[in-house]
Amino acid sequence: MKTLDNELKNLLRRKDPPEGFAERVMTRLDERPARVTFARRFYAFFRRPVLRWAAVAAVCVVAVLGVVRYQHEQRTRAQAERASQEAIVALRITNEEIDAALERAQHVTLRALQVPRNPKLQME
Amino acid sequence: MGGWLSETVEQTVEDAVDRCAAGDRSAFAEIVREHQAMVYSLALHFLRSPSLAEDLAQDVFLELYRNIGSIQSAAHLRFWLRKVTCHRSIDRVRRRKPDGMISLQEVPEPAVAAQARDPLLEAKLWKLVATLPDKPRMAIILRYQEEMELREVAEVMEIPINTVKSSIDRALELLRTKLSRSMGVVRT
Repeated sequence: MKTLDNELKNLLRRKDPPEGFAERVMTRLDERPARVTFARRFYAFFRRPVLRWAAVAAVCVVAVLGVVRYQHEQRTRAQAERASQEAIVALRITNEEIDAALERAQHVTLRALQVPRNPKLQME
Repeated sequence: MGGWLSETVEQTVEDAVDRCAAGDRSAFAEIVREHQAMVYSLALHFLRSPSLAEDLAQDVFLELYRNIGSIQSAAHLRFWLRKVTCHRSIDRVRRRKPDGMISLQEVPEPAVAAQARDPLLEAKLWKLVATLPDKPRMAIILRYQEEMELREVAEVMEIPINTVKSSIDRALELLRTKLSRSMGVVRT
């Protein structure tokens, strides 16, 4: 009499699949590439947890760098504007000083021209 | 001699895995041929339908193809195939369950006791195994079809070893009781 163990081993022994099983698997495999789109590959790539977190980290780094760069540009622009204003003021002041100097020079010249001539010299 | 032969087979399988990972499809066909009986039988014994079993086995191999890069050795390949087949089979049965699976206790006794070698014994045992709950049934199939240790069964099914042990013991006890009632004495 066979034991239950032997009966179970006999009952559950491996059986071969129907003829051509491997070929059918390969046929289904050949059908697959057409269905593997770029989007599926893209999503499959990011399904790996490490890559998913790496992508999240990369997005965060890019965002932070973007904000820092924006702030830096804003600061630079403000400094340039301030420098430009200061230069204009400086030029204006310089212009006014030059005008004043010219005016003084003109005044001195006119006064020099208005000095009365020596009458003696006029007689001769 | 046997050890040398199995080492050679393992090496051949590992070479095939490496070639397949490098894009060689004929290597994948070799892997399928080498493991098709194992995968198909696990599914067949669990699902009890040749067409469902073939469909599921094909799905398992297609999934293997997608994950071939993660396979590290011949032993890992066997483990992976058993695990995926086991879980997919249980999922498949759970999806089509409401059509009325019956428990072992509800199986009627056969009207006439049969001889020990009678095909009726096999048919009866087959029916009794089919009525076991999903997880104990899969544990019995892995244990007797693949002759796996309890620890290996626990790893494949991802359940504690004590649960595997108690499930198998309980299932065997039920099978023994039912069989001894219907077929006469069955020794362990």
